[in-house]
Amino acid sequence: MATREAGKKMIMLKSPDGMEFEVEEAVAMESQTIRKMIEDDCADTAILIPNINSKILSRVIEYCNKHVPTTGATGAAASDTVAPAALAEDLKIWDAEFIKVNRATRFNLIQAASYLNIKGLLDLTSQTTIDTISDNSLEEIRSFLSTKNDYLPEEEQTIRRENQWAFQ
Amino acid sequence: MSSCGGWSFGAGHTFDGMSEKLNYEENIQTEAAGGEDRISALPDELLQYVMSFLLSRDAVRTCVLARRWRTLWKSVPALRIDDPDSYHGATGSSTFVDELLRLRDPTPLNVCDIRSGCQETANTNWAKEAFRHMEPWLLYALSCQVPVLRICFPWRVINMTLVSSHLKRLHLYRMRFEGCSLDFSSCQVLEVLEMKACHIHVNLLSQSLRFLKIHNTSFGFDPRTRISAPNLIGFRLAPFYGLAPLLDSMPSLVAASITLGEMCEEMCYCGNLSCGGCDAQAGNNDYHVALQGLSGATNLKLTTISYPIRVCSHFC
Repeated sequence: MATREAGKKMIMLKSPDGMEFEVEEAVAMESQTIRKMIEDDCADTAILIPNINSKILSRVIEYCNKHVPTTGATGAAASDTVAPAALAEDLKIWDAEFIKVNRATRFNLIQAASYLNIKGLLDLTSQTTIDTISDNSLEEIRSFLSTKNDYLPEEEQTIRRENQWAFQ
Repeated sequence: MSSCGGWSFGAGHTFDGMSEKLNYEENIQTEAAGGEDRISALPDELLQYVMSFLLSRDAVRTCVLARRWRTLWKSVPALRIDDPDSYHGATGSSTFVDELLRLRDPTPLNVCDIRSGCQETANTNWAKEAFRHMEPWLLYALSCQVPVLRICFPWRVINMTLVSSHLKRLHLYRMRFEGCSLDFSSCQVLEVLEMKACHIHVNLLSQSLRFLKIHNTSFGFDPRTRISAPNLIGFRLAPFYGLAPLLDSMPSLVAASITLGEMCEEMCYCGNLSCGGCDAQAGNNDYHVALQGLSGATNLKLTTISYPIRVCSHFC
């Protein structure tokens, strides 16, 4: 049930494993998916967040909590102009610590950020994934992605030939 | 095989040490989440979003990973050109970017980021030619409804008017604006403009801008730059050199930070009748024309001023 606490409207988020998280509406609305539910008036009781377990959901809420006060009404990031550079720098350092998680958690965060439509979190998780695999050999990347090379040797050669302009 | 720009797509050799490490990580992963959380399990669209953080060259190279990856690169929603190799065809042969744009599916782009480290002083003709090639890339990006554009091309002038009804954020680094236009009236939804380490010798006009950040930038002395952005709500101005620009009224301004470097002049004494911002002209010499535009603002916060600007009664 949405309640009021210290003048702030609260929203209840429920994970499929039965955990409940009471968060400020403004924090929950960092998620464009939840924002739409609230704006469409579909959110006066607790919102069930499917497919995101309590461990991941609590991390997502932690992220939104940190980022909520610095996003203006227009959705433009604080670092644009208004916020002091120190604040943007502080957020960057916080983000770097936040994303020091194992691969499983990071992939779950990507899925959660995508479902909940939280652009900042999706960008952070995506960029970190790319940073992790950069500078690796093709075989290492395949291993990292758990992708099996299912090309026949001659097929792979054809693909390389077709896209030679990218391999020069 | 080139290792330029990140991934080195060498021959498919396997490192025993690496396999061991990956197996270990695999165990942790399986234990934590049942192993269904791998990147490859992501749907194409989300996977392409993740790929959009790769340089475009590396994104194309994923085509050799496996069959599923063969054409994924064609709809990656980003153009990221950061490696000088991309410009090698500037003498006439087809460049990497030209091929990319020819073969890519014309799906919408989230971002176009073109950065060249080339210095005009190092090879003028090459830089000139490479820059000439860049203009069609920009047109392509705009035609793909790109909302975010970043360009870094040292000391080059964009001699084209950007026309877009989708461009929201524009970041210009190390460029020069002289004898060209910084009139963004053809970008009706442009909200954020950042200009860093640029030389600005022209007026800047935009009705739609909400946030404007100009830093490490120099302005010219003659003519004095005028900034007309009446709908700004956030403004940071930190030039290091030149005559502080004239600011037209910004009645919606919420927060502003003005820091004039030690090599900046705040007053114009040219006395030229055509100079709208000349402090030497009659009626102008009793207040600070450069900052006059801020005087209509509500909740104005001048957070830093390193230069001893005389603040007049307009701000009191």
